[in-house]
Amino acid sequence: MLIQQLVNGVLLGTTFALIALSFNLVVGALDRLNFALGETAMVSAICAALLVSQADVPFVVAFVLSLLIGAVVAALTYLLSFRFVSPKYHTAPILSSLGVGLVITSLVTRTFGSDQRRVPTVLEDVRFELGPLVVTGDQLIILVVAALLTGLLYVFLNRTTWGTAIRGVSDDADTSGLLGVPVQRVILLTFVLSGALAGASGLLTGLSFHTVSPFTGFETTLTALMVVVLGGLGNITGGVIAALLIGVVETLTVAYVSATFRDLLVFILVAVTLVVRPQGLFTRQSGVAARV
Amino acid sequence: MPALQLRGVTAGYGRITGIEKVDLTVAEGETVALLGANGAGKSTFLRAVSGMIRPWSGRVVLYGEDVTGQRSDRLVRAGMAHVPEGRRILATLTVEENLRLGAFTRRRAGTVDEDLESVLTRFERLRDRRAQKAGTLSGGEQQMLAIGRALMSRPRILLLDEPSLGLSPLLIGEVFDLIKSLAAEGLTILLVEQNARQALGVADRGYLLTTGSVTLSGAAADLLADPGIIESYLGGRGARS
Repeated sequence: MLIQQLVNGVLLGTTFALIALSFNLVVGALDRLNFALGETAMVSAICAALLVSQADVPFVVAFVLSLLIGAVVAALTYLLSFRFVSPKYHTAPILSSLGVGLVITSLVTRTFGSDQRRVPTVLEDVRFELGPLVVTGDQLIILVVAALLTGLLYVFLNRTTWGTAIRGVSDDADTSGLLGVPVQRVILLTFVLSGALAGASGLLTGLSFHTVSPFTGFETTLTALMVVVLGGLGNITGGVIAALLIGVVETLTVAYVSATFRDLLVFILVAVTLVVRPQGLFTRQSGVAARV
Repeated sequence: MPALQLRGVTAGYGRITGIEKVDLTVAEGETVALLGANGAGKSTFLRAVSGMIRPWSGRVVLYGEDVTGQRSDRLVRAGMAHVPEGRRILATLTVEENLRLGAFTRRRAGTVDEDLESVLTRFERLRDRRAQKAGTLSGGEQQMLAIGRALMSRPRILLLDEPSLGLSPLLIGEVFDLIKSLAAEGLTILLVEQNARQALGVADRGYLLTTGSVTLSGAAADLLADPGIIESYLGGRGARS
């Protein structure tokens, strides 16, 4: 059933695409990686899963809350690990955001326990069969929501004043400041957006496996890093393509080789890419490339 | 009330002093040239004025308001626009997006489309290229874009940092004609230039910066008429850069 596995892989890839988009937004704004984004996704997913399974909150409401929780956590991460760190210290935000990630994980396990949480099926009765190919209602939700969020982000970045300001700051923060753009607020907005995307990605990943664990945060960060590096750091389109590719590779590895080789094959793929094309499959748009 | 006033401003990077105890005044409606060779401290001066670095001591007063060390976006709100050295256009954004970003502080004023139209009327070449990525423009067009982008904030005072740098003599002439017509429209201009003859040609007054301090100031015509000054400080015919 190769075709079914390919479809499953692409669906897994769409959730990776959201988290990669989330990383790339921050890379664009600040040329820094936020290593707490995986945990941001996890805490949003855990909270949403608890609301849905324990408090019978409708999935739509829980989803909106996952966006909000992600946004708030990312804003706090910005204030705690980035805002007041001198730009001279390139590695400091890596360590401080890793630290925030550890704090999030231990706060979650202390508050909610270390159990895995169930994400119940949303569209139980919906099921599409195209010959041998089966797409469940939940898979459809993941696909539609991921596509919708990506589309909304695209429109926001390209059609609004604040979106243009984000791209301006990403291109050249000092010059944007001279034009009257409040650079710090634009960077905060970028973190908020990236956090909302991470939150959505966390819950949608939970929906695809019907479970979320409080210990997957760093794993998510690692996967996102693989995607971002493969697609070219800061390249939004490259990130989406690399996400789909890695989703397919992971799914095929689990289906035809062994689940234990899943990450290994992805790491090998990324390592080979880095040797052959150190800039990733796609390069970052001109103008910014010089600063990375 | 002067448009811009610097009182004893000292600023620099790290432990290196860039400018020391600089006093300078630009009156409303006036065009003032700040002249100096490479490394005389012109860039430090402008960065201190436009809030990119915080002065170590002294005051920067803009229309009577103390704005020392204020962030760039606050200064834009207070009426100052800065055209940075080397144009610094946002290469990955389109020409129109560059211009619209120049009006960021006025985004709720409801006159952005109108201002865009008037800038495009002034720079017709930009109109044809408004949907193009700004990085694809020629050097002269980029300078026009950088100035047009600054005008989008409807400034009361315009700071121009080396607008003639890297342009052909023909384009340099165009840029100075533009400065002259902006001044004639009543805009207050502070022009920082190496190209002394051209700058003094459009300015009312001039200041000479030598190794971080103002060593000479006076009416532009007087400075131009003094052959000794041109020879010893400003490099012969002044067109050298």
